[in-house]
Amino acid sequence: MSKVLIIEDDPPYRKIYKRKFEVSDYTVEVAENGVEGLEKMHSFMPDIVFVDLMMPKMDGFQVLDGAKADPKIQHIPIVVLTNLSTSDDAAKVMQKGAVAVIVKSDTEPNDIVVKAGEILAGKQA
Amino acid sequence: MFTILLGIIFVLQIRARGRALALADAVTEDLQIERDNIAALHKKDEAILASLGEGLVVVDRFGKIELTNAAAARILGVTQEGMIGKSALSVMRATDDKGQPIPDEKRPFERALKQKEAVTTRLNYVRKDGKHIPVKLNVAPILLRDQVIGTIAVFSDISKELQLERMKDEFLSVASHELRTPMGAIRANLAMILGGDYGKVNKDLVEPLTDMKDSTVRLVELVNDLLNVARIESGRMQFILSDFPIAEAVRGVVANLAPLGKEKGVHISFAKDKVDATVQADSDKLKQVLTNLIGNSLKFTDEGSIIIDIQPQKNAVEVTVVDTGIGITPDDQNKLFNKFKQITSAQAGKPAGTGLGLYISREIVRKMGGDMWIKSSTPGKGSTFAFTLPLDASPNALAAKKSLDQETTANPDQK
Repeated sequence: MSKVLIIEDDPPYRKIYKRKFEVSDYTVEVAENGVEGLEKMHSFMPDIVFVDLMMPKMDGFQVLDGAKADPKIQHIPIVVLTNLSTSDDAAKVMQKGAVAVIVKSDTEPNDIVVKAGEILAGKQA
Repeated sequence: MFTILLGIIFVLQIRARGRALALADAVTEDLQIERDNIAALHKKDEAILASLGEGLVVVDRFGKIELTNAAAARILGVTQEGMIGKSALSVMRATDDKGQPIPDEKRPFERALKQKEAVTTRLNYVRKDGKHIPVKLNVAPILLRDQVIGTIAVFSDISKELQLERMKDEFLSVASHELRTPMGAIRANLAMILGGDYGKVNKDLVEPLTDMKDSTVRLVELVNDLLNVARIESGRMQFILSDFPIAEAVRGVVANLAPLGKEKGVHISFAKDKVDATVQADSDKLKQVLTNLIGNSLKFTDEGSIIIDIQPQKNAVEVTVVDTGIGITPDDQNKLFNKFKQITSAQAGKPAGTGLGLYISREIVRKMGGDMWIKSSTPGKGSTFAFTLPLDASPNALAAKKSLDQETTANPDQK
């Protein structure tokens, strides 16, 4: 079973993604902010990470910076979840090493699991 | 007898002279009253001009300022005396909404003078200290026996109005983002419940849950559209222009939407996917526009086809979307691109949209140097929508790039 880490401060979304990945046969771990997220990337060693952009303490941009600068976890693919659907942010997170950007309000949870499957299967680098 | 006659004549003469003198006195008195009246009127005119909240400038046919008022001097940051006799174009330096100087021949004063047209516009007046004052301006030619003898301009400082507009835009933008988060959560939960992720759904509940989900999707779309309108109108929509083959983009969108058409029994196809033309555009925005146009056609087409075609022109390509749908009456065609206008004839039994899609699409295309219009439409037969995009390195492409760059500079907080 693949392991997924969800870093998301909004409780409803946290529950939604946790449930969706669980019923899709993933082992799921959640974090409520960026600091906890980076810690769990080390302790849980997920196969893929989904991170929200706007979070207290440490936001998604900082999580990307932190993860990509850390040799132990820099190989883990990170997908950014956001409700700020701007090309600007998308370009910025891709530049920082994210593998994909997903706009939450325009996407159904199923699409996100499908995306995770594609990335893990190596269809998208 | 003769003496009596002379006497009578004498008396009459004296009386006549008296009357003449009295008349002269009366005329003098009338003239004085008239003079007083004129002076009073003049004072009154001066008082009216001084009290007028709007700036007023009257210019002669050579473009020299003849008359002005206190508000004009205040807005322009000069003295009234300092304006009289000077050239209006030089005393009242003007820039457009992007802060670029307006060429003399395009200045409203010149247009009113040379083309005899009344102009209502917004522009900035530049004060001596370099400060730009946004004004709303009306300039009209002054006609005397069909000859233009000058122009009259009335203008008001709209700094406060613009500030309010900006606050409205910001509010809309923040509110939209804050609304999207909970709506997205509702939508995601409903999708999962319906998808069986929380166990089997009682079949009586499938319909109401589906309605709830569809309504939430519509709400999300409405909020997205509102956000887009706010961005476009405040110059805060970001465009990332690049040069790419138009056929490739169209092919992708058609492939995405073809399955939706198939579900409905409508064949969506791309007529000429071999056309070799490179356009300059924001490819994501082009896809958004195409998706909106084809989606609209699909909404109002129950059988037949939707065909997308490309016609290369001299400096642009024209993209057409031809459907065999319900068509649009000529009356409704005029309203179609207005904000929030949904045409009545199309609404019966059809899924409602926000009424913003076509407005947004046309604005996006215009920002990229193209345009959008209804090419033809016949009720009961179908419609043809068309839009253009500039070819790479064409004059329109360069102009659009320049204009969007200026917008980026003016609004660094683009989203």
